[in-house]
Amino acid sequence: MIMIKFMRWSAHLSVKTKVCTSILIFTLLMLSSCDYDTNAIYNREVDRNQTAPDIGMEELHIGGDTVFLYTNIMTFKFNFTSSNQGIIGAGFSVDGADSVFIKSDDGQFLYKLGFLSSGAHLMKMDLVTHSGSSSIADILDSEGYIFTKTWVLIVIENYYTYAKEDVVNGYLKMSFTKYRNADLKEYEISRFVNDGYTVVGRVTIPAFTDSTYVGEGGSYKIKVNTLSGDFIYWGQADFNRNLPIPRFYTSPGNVYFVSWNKCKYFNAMDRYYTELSNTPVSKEYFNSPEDTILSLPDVHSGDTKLIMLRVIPKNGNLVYETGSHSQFESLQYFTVEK
Amino acid sequence: MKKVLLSLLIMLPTAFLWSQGVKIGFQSGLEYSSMMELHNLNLQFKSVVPFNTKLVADFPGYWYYQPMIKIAFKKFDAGLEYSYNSTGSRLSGKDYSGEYKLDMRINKKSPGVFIEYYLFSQKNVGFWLYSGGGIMFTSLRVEEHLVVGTISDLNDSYNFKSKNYYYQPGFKLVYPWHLFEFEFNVAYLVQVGGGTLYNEKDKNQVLSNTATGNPIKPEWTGLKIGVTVNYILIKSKLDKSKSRY
Repeated sequence: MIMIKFMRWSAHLSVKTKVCTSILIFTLLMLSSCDYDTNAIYNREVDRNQTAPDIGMEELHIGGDTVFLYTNIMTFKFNFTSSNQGIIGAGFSVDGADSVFIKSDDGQFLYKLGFLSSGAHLMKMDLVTHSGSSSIADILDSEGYIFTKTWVLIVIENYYTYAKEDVVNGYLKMSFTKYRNADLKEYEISRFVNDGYTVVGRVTIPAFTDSTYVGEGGSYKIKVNTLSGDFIYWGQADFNRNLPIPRFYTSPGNVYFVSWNKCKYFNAMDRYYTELSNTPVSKEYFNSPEDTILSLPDVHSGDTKLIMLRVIPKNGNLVYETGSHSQFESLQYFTVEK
Repeated sequence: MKKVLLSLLIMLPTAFLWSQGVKIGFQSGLEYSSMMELHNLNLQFKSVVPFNTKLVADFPGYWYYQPMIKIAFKKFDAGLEYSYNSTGSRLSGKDYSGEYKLDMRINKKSPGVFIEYYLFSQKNVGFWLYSGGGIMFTSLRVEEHLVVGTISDLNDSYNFKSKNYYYQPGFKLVYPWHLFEFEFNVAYLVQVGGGTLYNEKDKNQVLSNTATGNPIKPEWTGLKIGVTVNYILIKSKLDKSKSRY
């Protein structure tokens, strides 16, 4: 349409004018396409001859190739170091599932596991470092070295147990399940005193001897503290009272005395304390831990007496120090036959 | 400006009736511009790109093409001109693993009017003063490419437009030969107006320097050096061109 209009408009022009006008239009169109362009390129300096770095693992949470998982601990902490090239990140996968990539330029990773069923699993980690070539791909984290490591995970669900009670060398010894990872800091043992638990000991083996317990009964809780600052409620122990009970005896010569079985936790006790009442004046006696017989010269035929036997622990028994002594006492009534 | 253009459009056909001389010409040469604001934008890109790059092209002077038509009067010529010019820049970085390119290609189409005043001649070469002005329609295309390995990670392009005016004083030397005139032209283009670059799809989207927050405008101000070939389409009855030289 435009062309037709142009031809009609130019019909009266001379041939020379038409030719010149056409050349002008053609030149204009041609030159309008002559845009600026450049082929200049900056070739970056790179160094492709880089060697693979040495990777070191500073274990924060796990050690060895087998890791025991307790159901309430599903977070892994890793700390890797690289000798020369920087660390980009690490991809983690369990049992061949899709990898989870975590970026970290300081080599520290916190990998939180999802739910895993009880039993053995395989965890694979691909640690990626820079190549060190300073290429575009290197800087954009698309080029580097990959270091792969695998661990066997063993998920243990029923690890929380009651501690086993033993008496060893006159002391209470409690034993509990072993925490099997290498990041154990300590087992922390707390005892219920008054209205709460108080720490009474920290050990690095799965057993604890309470050198203050004399059989008064008590509740303990055990916690595992890890090197990374986490903790796990590990178990508990509830011990019933197990104190010596005084018994009245008469000898053939009408000599009266009270005797009791030796305290099981004799090395934890200071001495026995007995109190004879229902007499005009209460009588008090002290016996050494080895002495379990108390003669009663002031007892006569037909008397009814109440004898209280208290096991006094050595210093350090938190329950005794609160003044609650009744927990350490056994009472016994007796009547002297005529 | 529009009025002036309109007046010249009216004058042009009447020039035929009045039997004034009519010439068509084509001028070309190098046109330089500053483009400082776009240069600074490039530097800003350079600082953001995580690997080292280099500005391998920074809006150099480039060819302009300028057809024109003019009417010859006794002591002066006046006419219409249309100039096309482009330039650009490239921020580049390339190695065996990939390539990054940020290309800016900017051009202007500037229709305008001009008037030339004859001063004197010596040895058949005439010395003229020149003055022109008009509108500049600027187009800017920004393309950013990043290829890592064989994968294209980035392939973006944006088009911007802007409208400004120009004023262009200068001088020229003219050598006539039969129906042709050969010219050597020197002019200094001065951009007038603060028309900033806006996205051609959305006028509210203005290209700006994120470091300063200032919108960016093209800066075409600069020197033009070129040569012209005129063809005398209609010779003036006064045949001034001869009398001038």
